[in-house]
Amino acid sequence: MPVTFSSRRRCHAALFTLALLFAPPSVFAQGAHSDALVPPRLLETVEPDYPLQEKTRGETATVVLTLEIDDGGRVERAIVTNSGGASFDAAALEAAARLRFVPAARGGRAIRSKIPFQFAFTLSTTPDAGAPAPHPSSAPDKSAVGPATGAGGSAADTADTASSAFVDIEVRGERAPRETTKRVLERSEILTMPGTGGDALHAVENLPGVARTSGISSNLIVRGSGPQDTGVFADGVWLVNAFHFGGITSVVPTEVLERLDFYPGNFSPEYGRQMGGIIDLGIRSPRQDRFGGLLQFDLLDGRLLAEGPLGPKTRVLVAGRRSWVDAWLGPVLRSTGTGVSVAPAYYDYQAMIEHDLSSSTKARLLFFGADDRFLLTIRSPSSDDPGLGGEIGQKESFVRLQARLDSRLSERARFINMVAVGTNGAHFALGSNHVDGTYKVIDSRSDLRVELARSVTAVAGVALLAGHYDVSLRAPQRQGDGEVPAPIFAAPKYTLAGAGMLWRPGAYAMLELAPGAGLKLLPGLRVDYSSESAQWTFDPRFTARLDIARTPLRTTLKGGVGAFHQPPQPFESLAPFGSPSVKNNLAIHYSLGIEQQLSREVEISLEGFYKDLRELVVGRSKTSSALGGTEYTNTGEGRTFGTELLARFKPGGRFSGFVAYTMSRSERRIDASRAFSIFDFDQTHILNALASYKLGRGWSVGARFRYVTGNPYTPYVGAVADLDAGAYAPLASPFANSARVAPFHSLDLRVDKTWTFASWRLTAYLDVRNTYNRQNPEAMTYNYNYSQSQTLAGLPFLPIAGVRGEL
Amino acid sequence: MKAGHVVAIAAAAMAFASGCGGDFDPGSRVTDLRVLAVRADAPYAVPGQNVHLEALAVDAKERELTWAWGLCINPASSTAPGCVAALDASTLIIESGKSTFDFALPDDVITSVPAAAEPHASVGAVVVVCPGALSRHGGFLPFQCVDPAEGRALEADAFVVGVKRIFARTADKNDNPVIAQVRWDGADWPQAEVKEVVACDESGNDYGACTANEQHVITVDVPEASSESGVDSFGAAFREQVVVQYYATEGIFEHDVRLASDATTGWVARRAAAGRTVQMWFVVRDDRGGVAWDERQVRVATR
Repeated sequence: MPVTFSSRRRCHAALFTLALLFAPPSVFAQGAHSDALVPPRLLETVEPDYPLQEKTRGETATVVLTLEIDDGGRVERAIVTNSGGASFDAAALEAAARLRFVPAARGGRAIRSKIPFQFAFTLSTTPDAGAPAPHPSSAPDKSAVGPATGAGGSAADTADTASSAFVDIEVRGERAPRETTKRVLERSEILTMPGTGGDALHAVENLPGVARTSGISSNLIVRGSGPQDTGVFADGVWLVNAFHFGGITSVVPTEVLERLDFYPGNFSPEYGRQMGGIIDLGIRSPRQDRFGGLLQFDLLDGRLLAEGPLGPKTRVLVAGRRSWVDAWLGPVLRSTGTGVSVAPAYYDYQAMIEHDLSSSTKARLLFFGADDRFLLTIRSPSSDDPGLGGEIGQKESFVRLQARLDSRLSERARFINMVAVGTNGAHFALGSNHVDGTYKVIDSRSDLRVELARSVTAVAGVALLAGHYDVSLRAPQRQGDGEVPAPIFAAPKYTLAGAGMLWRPGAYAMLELAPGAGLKLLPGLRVDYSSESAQWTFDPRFTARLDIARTPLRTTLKGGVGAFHQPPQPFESLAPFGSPSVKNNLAIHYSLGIEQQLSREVEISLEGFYKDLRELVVGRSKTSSALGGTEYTNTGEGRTFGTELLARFKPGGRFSGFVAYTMSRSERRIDASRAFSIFDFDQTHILNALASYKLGRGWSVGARFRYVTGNPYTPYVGAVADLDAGAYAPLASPFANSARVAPFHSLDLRVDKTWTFASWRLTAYLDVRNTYNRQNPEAMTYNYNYSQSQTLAGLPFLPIAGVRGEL
Repeated sequence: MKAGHVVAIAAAAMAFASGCGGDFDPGSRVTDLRVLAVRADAPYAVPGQNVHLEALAVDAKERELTWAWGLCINPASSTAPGCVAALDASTLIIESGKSTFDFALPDDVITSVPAAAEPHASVGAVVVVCPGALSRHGGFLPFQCVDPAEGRALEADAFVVGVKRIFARTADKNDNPVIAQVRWDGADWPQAEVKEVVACDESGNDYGACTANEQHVITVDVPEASSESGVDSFGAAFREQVVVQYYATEGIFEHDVRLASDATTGWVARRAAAGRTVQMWFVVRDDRGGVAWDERQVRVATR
C-alpha cells in the first residue's frame, strides 16, 4: 500500500495564511477605520476528486476560478477563468460549490464578494526515481474582476477583492504505482513519528516487510534479505552508506526530502543491481513563494536550512547539519580512560539551485555530501579480544554534484536526464589493522516516457554507474560464511592493495498497458553489465493491477513476478581481495495481494510474497590458497516467504496512524548439500502500531508500540583457546541459528508543541523511547571461555528532546 | 570493513572495556585449569627449523595433567578452531606432564602453497591439557578427557584445547617481547618478593568498592623495542601492537588487559583471599605471536 511522502491533504489553513501574508496591509486593517474591508476567509475546504482518467495518464493542471460568495460565506457562482481541461474544470467547479467561507465584511457587516480561486492538480508519485513531484505553481497573474452582483445585493455591498492574493489549494492525486507494492511516508508523518527521531530511513523500519534492527544499526532488512541487498538512492544517486556512523541518522536529513518511496520487492526495471528492496529519497524543490528557513537542535545535532526564490523562475536551498555528540561524549570517554584524539562527530550538507528553463523544462544542480569521523585510543583492550583496543578510528565521507534536467517534451512525453559525479572516501583503523579506500564515481541515468496511445505508455532508459577505486588494507582474513568470528589480535594479517575501474551500465524498458477498465499490465526488462564479474544479466519483470471495484471504494488485486540480479560485493569479486570468477547473485520475486479501501481515510493492504534466492555468493576460508584468505563461489541458496498486512488511517486530519504486521521466514544454506537454516536476520513476527493525534492549540501526541520475534543466534558448544591472542574462539553448534533471544517489545511516546507566530513557527518536542524501560534482549554475551552466557539488553528508557524554529 | 562494522566494533570495545559485557567472573581470575600462554622460541621459523614450545599451564586444584600436542599444517582457516579441525592425527602425541613440545617445520611448508599464499604459510600447534585420561574422540572437540576418580567424561570447559601458531618465513624474524621490570605501587617488585596486603571487604567484582588503602598499582614495564616495526620480506609494512594481560588466582584487577605502552592496572584482594597466598601472572603478547610472561605472589592477611 503506497504511502507517498508527498501530502494528499495539505493543511489549507497554512496556504491561506501564506496568501494573506502577500496581501496588501490595508486589506487587513480591522477596526482602524469604519469602512475597512475584510476579505473572505476560507472556513471549510473541499478536496476535489482527481479525474481518474487524467490521473491514469499522469496529467496535471491548474484551474483558476472566480468565485462569487454571498454574505453567508457560500459560493453562489463559480466561473472558470483559466481552464485546465474539461475534466479538471468539472472537478474544480464541483468542489468549489461546496466551499465555505467566512464572508467578506465592510465596517463590520458581512457583504457579498468576488475572489480569484485556484485548484492545482498535481500527482504525488513521479514516474521515475528521484524526480521531485511538481510544486504548486506560483500565484498566477491577478486579473481584475468586476464586482459581484446578484439578487438582493448592490454593487456597493460587494467587495472587489481582485487586489488580494489567490486562494490557492493544491490537490494531489496518487498515481497508481508501477510496482506491485510501493509504500510512501509523508514528511509530516516522519517528522513526528515516535521513536525514530524524525529520521526517514529509521521510519521505514515501521513499514511491513522491514525487520527491526538492534540499537544503532544501518541494516535495512527487507523481506528477509541481507543488509547489502537493499539499495538506498537520493534523487537517483546511489548512496553507498546511507547512515551516519552506521545507523545513528540518515546522511540526507528529512527536511530536504520531498518524499520517500519504498519498494519492498518486485520493483520496476528502473531499478537494478539490487535483489532485496529499494528506498528512493526524493529531494524536494526549494520554496518559490518566499524565503524561509529552519533551525533545529536536539540531543544529537543541530540543523540549519535556508531556501527561497532568486527571481520568478529560480530557487535555491542551502542546508547543513552537525552533530555535537562530541561535545559531551568526549569528556565522558576521557573519564573512562579512553584517549580521545577526535571525538565522534558527523556532518552533512546540501546546496541546490533549481531553474525553470521553460514552462516544460526544469533544471537542477544539487551538491551534497556527508562526513563521519572519530579517533580514540582504548588503553584497556577487551579481554575477549585484545585486538579490540589501541587506536580505533574512522573517517568516512562522500560528496556528489548532480545535474538534472526534467523536460516535458510534449503532452505525452517526458524526458529526464541526471548525471552525478563525486567521490567516496573511507578510512578505518583498529589497532594494527586498517582499511583505506577512495572511490571516484559517475552515476547517470536517462529516462524517457511516452504515451504511445491512450492505453499504452512506454518507458525506457539507460543508466551507468562507473568509477575508479583504490583500496589498501591490512586486516585479518575475512571469515567465511557460517564461521564464527574469532579473536583478531594475533590473527594473520593480509596486506593487500588494489585499484582499477568498475563499470556497471544498464538499460531498461517497460510498457504500461491499460487494456481494460481498471486493469494495468506492466511487462518490463532490465539489462545490466557488471565489470567485476564480467557478466551480462537479463531481468524480465511483470506486474499486474486490477481494480475490481472503484466506486465508492476501491478494491485492487495486484501481483508480480520478476528476476533481480545483484553484483557481488567488491571485496568478494575484486582481486586481490576476492575471487574474480564469482558471478552475480539472483533472486526471483513472487507476490500477490489485495488493497481494499474502507473509506476515504482508511485502507488495508494484504500481500503474500516468496523469494527464491539462487547463486548466492558465499565465502570459505582458504588461507592456504586464496590471495585474500577467503574464496568466494556462487553456491549459496535461500528462500523467503511471508505475508504483510498494512492497515492505514491516512494523514491529513487530526488523527493518523497505521498498523503493520509481517509474518515471514527466511532461510539460507551455503550449498545444496546442506539443509536450510534460519537466516541471521529472520524475524517471524513483526508488529508496529503507530498513531498520532493533533490535540489542537499546536499540541500533538503520538505513540508507537512494537512487538518483534527475538533475533536468532547459534549456540556455542565449546571454545578453543587462541594462545596467541590470550582469548578464546567459540565453537558453534552445527545447527545454525537454532536458538532465539526473547521477543522484543517497547512503547515509544512523543509529544510536540508548536507555537505559531506572525512570520515563524517554533516547535518543541520530546521523544521518549522504551517508555516502560523493558530490558529487551538484543544478543547473547558470554564469559571468557564461552561456558556461561546471558542476554545483553538493548537501549533503556531514553528521552530525547529538541526544538525547531521554521520561517 | 563497512562503517557499521567499525562503529559496532568500537562500541563493543568500549563496552567491554567499561565492563558492560555481563555479570561474569573475570577471565583474569584463575580458579580452574587454564593454559595462559604458549611461548615459541621462534614465532617465525624457516622450513626445517626446530621450534621449542613451552606452555604456561595453571591448575588451581593442582591435579596431575595429561598433555597432547599435535600439528595442523597450512590450515584453510586461520582461526584456532580451524586449526583443530585440520589437525594432522599422525603428529599427535599424548603424554603425562609434557608441558613442552619440540617439532620441526616441514621442509615444504612454504613451497606447498601457491605463491600468493606464501605470506601466510604456517603451522599450528594444537595443545590439549586434561586433568585426567585424554584420548581422541569425535564431537565438536576431537578429544575426550575422563575424570580418573569418577570415570566420566569431563565437560568441554573442564579441560583446555588451544592453538599456537608458528609462521613459516625464510627471511623475516619475530622476537618475543621482554618484560624489563614489574613494579608494585611504583617500586620495583622482584620475583622473589612476596607482598603483604589486607583484603577488601568485597565479595563481588567491583574494584571501585574498595578503599585506596586496599588498592595497589601494578605496572609491567615493556621496552618500546618490543613493539617491532618495519617492512617484511613481502613488502608489507607492520608495527606490532603489544598488550599485557593480567591473571591472578584471586582478587580484582581494575583492568584485565592494557596496552604495553601504558601497562598499569590496579588490584585488590577480595574477602575470599583472606589468609591465602595469591599467585599472579603477567603475560605480554605482540600481535605476531610473540609472548613472554612473569609471575609474582601476594600474601593476603587474615581478617
